Amino acid sequence: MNNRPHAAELLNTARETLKSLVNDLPREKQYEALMVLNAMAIAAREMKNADEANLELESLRELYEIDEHDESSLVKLNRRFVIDIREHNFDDDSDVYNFLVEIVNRKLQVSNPKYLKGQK
Amino acid sequence: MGLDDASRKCLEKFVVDQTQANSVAIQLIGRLSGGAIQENYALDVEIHGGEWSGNHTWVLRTDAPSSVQVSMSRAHEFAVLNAAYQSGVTVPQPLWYCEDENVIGTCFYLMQRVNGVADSRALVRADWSNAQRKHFVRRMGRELATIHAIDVSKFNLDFLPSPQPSPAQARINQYRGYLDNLPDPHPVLEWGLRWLEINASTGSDTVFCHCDYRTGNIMVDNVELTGILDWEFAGLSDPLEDIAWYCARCWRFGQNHYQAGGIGQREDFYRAYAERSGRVVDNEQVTYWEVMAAVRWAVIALQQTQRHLSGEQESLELALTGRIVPEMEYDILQMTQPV
Repeated sequence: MNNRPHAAELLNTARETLKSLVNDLPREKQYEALMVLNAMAIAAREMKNADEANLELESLRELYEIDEHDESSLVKLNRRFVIDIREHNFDDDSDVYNFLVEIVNRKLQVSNPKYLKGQK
Repeated sequence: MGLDDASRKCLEKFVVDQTQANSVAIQLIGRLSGGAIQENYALDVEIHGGEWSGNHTWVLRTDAPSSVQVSMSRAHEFAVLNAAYQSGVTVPQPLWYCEDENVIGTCFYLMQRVNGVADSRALVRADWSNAQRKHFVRRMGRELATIHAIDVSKFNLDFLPSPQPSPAQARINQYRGYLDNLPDPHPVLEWGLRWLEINASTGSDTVFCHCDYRTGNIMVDNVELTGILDWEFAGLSDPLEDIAWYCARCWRFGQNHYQAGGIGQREDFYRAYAERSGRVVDNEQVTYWEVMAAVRWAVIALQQTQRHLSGEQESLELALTGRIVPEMEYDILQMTQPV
């Protein structure tokens, strides 16, 4: 099925159009327009990383050595995970730490990739 | 409150009673920015007769009509502001607190209006020389030492809760409670809280703290601090909590090379604080409290996002706040790597 431009492409094109209008807006409205631009950029990046939730679920299953046919949802596993952390089961655990770093890096790739480079 | 004509007349009468003036004329200049919970109105006041005779520029501070999030009451905030003022902290002079809701429809207090602007983003981007930056963060360090020296027993601030069993553990428990009230689990924040529990220092001071001491909550006029604002979170805590909150990456507004509030060098801030307080700042302990700061802002950001998601207050700004949480999570992980 040909549905180009895809949703992310459409969002990016719409974003470019809005960007060209920002300077024509009154000063007090520019901040709001910048927020809209930011929201659109995040949404477009998230569409490109649609499998992020699956990757997180996969990693969590690996951590808990759960069979891939088990139907545990991401939220359910995360609930178990936070209880385990709070109940001292993962203190100073490098595997858990590395897993968390991986998840956060992936989230930042979507919400603010510049942050990973030490910029805002 | 819109401060309609009737309220304004009642307010004028209130000021007449407080100042023993012959007459008072109040002009509403406008609503000041900042704070979804409280409302601040700029007033120009003309007083005839009595000790206060003359022209004054004041601020009226009251609760927003829709305020839901309970922080400190205006009466307690007024007492705190008064203690800060009497102790020599740079704050607007508090004038009178009015408990009578018949005056303008809700309790309020009046304070002097100070010059300057409270605009953190503009402040961190200001074209200041290194000498000006040093001057400014040294001032912030000394000011914080003055705040930490406020004698709570002298000012009837008994309503401030004493953190138990320690300032750090009280915060950990508080933030876990907040997380438990949110719909989704947050593993990185739990990791940070557990790390804070394991790494808590055994001995710590407990002093009067501002608890929201950051570049966004100060008035600045031409490279000079003119007022420290927003005392609603003040309480007893570890002094390092304020120091770390001021230096935390989340409050540098992208100006990472200026670790003291996005404005100056951390060492200059520490040194000036130590000179006035006599307390040497242990950088490792500040890092501990910077983890706490990142957890705190992340939890608050999640609460704000929830206000949007629940439909209570739909707003793009609140929605986007949810998407900055990974930034604090990243900071937490940077500081809590297992050895």
